[in-house]
Amino acid sequence: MLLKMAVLSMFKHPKRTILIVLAVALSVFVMEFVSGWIEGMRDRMNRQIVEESAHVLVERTERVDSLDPLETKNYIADPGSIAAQLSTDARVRHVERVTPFGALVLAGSRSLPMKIVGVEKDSGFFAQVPRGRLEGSFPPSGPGIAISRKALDLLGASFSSRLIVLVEDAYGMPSYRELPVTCVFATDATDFDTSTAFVDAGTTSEILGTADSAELWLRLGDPEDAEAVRDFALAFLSGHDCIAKTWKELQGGMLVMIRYMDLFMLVINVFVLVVAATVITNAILMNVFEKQKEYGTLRAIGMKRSEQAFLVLAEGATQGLAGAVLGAALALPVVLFLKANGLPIGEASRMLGGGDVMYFGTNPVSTLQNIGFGTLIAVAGSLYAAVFGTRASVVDALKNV
Amino acid sequence: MALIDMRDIEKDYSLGRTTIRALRNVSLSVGAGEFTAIVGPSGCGKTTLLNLLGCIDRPTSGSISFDGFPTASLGDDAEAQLRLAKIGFIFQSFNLVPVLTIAENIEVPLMLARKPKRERRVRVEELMELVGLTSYARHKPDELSGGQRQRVAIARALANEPRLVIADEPTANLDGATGESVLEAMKELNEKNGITFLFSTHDPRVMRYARRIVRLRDGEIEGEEVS
Amino acid sequence: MTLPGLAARNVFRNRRRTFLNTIAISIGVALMFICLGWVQGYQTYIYGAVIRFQTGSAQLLREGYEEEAARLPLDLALPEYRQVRGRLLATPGIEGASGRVDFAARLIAPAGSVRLLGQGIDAEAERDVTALSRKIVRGSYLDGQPGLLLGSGIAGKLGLEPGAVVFVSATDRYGVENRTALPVRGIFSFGYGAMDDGIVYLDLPSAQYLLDLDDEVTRIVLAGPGGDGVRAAAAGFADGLGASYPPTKAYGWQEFAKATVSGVRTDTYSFYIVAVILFGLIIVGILNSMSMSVHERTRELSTLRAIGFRRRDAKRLILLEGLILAAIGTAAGLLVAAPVAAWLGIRGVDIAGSIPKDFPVPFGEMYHADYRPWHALVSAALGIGACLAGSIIPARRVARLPIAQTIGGGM
Repeated sequence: MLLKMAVLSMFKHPKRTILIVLAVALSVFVMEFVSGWIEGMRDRMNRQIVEESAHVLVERTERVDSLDPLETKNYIADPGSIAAQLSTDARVRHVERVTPFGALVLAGSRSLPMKIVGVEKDSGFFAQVPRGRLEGSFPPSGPGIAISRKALDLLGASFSSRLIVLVEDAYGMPSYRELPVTCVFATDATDFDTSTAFVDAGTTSEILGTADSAELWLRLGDPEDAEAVRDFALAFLSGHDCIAKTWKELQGGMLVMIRYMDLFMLVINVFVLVVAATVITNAILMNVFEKQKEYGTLRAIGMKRSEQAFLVLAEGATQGLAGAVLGAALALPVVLFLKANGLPIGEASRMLGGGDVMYFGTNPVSTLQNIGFGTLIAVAGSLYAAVFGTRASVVDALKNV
Repeated sequence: MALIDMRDIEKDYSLGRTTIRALRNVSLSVGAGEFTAIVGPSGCGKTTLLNLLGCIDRPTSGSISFDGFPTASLGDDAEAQLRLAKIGFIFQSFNLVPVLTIAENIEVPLMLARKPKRERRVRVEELMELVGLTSYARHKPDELSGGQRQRVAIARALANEPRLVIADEPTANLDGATGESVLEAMKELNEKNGITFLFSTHDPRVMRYARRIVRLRDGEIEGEEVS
Repeated sequence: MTLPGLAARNVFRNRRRTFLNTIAISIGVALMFICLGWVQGYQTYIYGAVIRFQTGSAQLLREGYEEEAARLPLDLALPEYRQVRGRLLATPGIEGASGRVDFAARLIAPAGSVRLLGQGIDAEAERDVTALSRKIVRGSYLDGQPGLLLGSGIAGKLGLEPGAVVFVSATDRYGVENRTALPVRGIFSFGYGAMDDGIVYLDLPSAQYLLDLDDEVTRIVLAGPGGDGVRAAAAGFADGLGASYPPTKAYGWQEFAKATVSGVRTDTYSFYIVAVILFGLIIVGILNSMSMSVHERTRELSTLRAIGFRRRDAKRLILLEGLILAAIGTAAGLLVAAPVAAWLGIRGVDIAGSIPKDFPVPFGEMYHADYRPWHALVSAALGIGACLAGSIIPARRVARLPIAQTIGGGM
């Protein structure tokens, strides 16, 4: 019945109850919105790590500090045997030869400097490309180039057009190939689309005049095993003048950004929570003081201080939970909408690790945490009010109007 | 043995920097089954005296014992337990919990005493019948008249079968006829069930009901009458 | 006893409530002040850096160039550069005009080769438009001689110093790869990785020769006194170029720093949204608090009305209490914010380690906020405004108290 009294009491002062509930709801809404943003960044990073790029990357030591990461030299001489050795580790699911190189892509009088990536025909990486495929097939099989719609527009070309790929081969000699466009794609990142195209491994060998590959990309069963696999690989890679890097080292910039955003958003959350807490505490205190006479009566007829405190806490906790759930319920459709459609914040989304728009993400654990925090501020406010509310003696409480 | 025994009680209150002596050297015994009125003009200390007798306040000096046990040594929770088990309260402004129904208001002391649900239900029904409000069980206090609310307060005060019921100006907010009917109900309970009633009043019509009248003036017992 | 004196005593009557309200107000004011200075820092330092380092206040480009900028289209160049420049300098609102040619360059040095953005610049004209000539850390600027300027980052990687000869390779407007040897005249450093590692400047004639351009540039960078006024002046100029000149468009500097502008805007709007939420909560909190305070003092306030307080006196009393609360909270907020502001403004925040090297915003090594007196005034005004806003309804209630009914204590 004490709980019933607490709940019914809430409806006796609807305006104040609404104030407390809304203050909690607003705080939780802000926290959910911010969490959704961060989750979206994390989702994108995870997708990049898990589907689009390597968990561990192996390359020649000389390439690490190379001035031009797209130069066509310092390739791995015996990629097949290294790949075989790497595959003996049970944590490694897939090893692939990937060769990015710089080229000038020409169509008529127009040209576009691009990064061409030579991939194997069963490539498990660059998932954003098949996801955004518009025409043709990816990876290209046989002589052909997979290129974005945006890049084709810049070149004034289209699907099936023939493009010239001009490179400096492994011997420093200019070399070119004329390739048909066999795949057109469009991802959500303009930078990627206008700077990257793909050819198959055979075409890469032909163009560059070498069967060696620039990099070996590893996909692991669990990305968290990356450091351990790197350490395993380093044991024999040094004999091939190669080193390995984990995805954390490769995505360092994005990780830094996420850490920065985490901190920034934590600060914002704390400020909002503190101010909401003062509003809520004030409102709950008002409730307690207004009901002093009622509490005095109950104490006179035998209620203990602890039971009175329970009444205050129960009311605060109920309001807090209601507000927290309301805030989460209001935020969820917004976050889901932004998860599906993204938030266009301009070029900043690229800076923050997104594509052309920032897509939000959802995380049930994070939502439950935010509901917990929202409830907690109301409970904390009630605790404070309960301490002061139960201080008054029975007589003083009864004197209240 | 007296139900309540007060000896040499003094009670002071601070009002800012001033100390007001509300009771001076008061000694009073109340026996079981008494129907006693504490009378006196406004500000004479009636409410203070009742508060001390009801263990909701403590004296500045002096001793109070209830059923032979000194109350000075009781902690806060123990005092609450004493009030719950042995003392019922009826207030001038009824002091019902506005969000609870009549039945629930009466049930509160039973709930606080951790009585089983079934037992509580039976007792509540008994009490509502006693005060003639069975058909108002689901009503809220603001749907009742003053007299009806005071009867609910009486029922609540009797819930745990107390030894003593303290009523501070129980008829002050009631019209003449209603006040009289409330007093009749209290008197009947006193005579039939032997419950000790202590109430304060400055209304002479109400004093007629008391078998013992203790007169208070300026915080001191001026005199007593027994009828 | 004066009305303000009475109001002040009332505020300190309930210390706990006053304390809670003060915390809320001071947090709002402190946060507002700190954020205003932080955002101002963007305008002062970052936007200023972008304009001074690279973009100028506005630019003239051929129509269609910007849409195809990814391929650095030399076929969309602006002809008759010298003549156009002369006319631009005669245009009111434009004080500097410097032509540039953008192209994909490859530097070939003994230590290796590297691809980066090449910019042929009209060196003398560039002095009036960007700070490049003042950022030379070794060697000299391009003073009328063929040569190139390297960023300190790239010079370090290639192991080049002033006087070294470097080959510059590029594809000209006809698709032919050309190569020319040029001496390194100077090394520049902006403290901004994207430029120090990513751009090589050539003197304009050498770039035009390499790319087979005549008196043509791909853009003309403009400077002037008026900020947005420069773009407007350039737009007017472009409209008056005549039908014989290729269609030309004027762009504000923001067009060439979209990442920076977008990032700053996102940050700024986030601050403002949080500020709105905070001050909204503060208003509601004060409203609640003052209502309670009024409720507790109903009898007292009715008594004051009974003995002669006019309605407006009663209203003023409550508003004054709100104002006093505001003053305390605002002062506390500014006091707390002051050392933070001093630290952010004078010492700055070392963010070099936290920002990726290729981050497209010229934060520099240390980020400094920029605090102005009006920031404190605005923050204080908001704090005071929020308190007054929260006090209005309770003040009105007090003014409307029915004396007879409430002088006994209840409403």
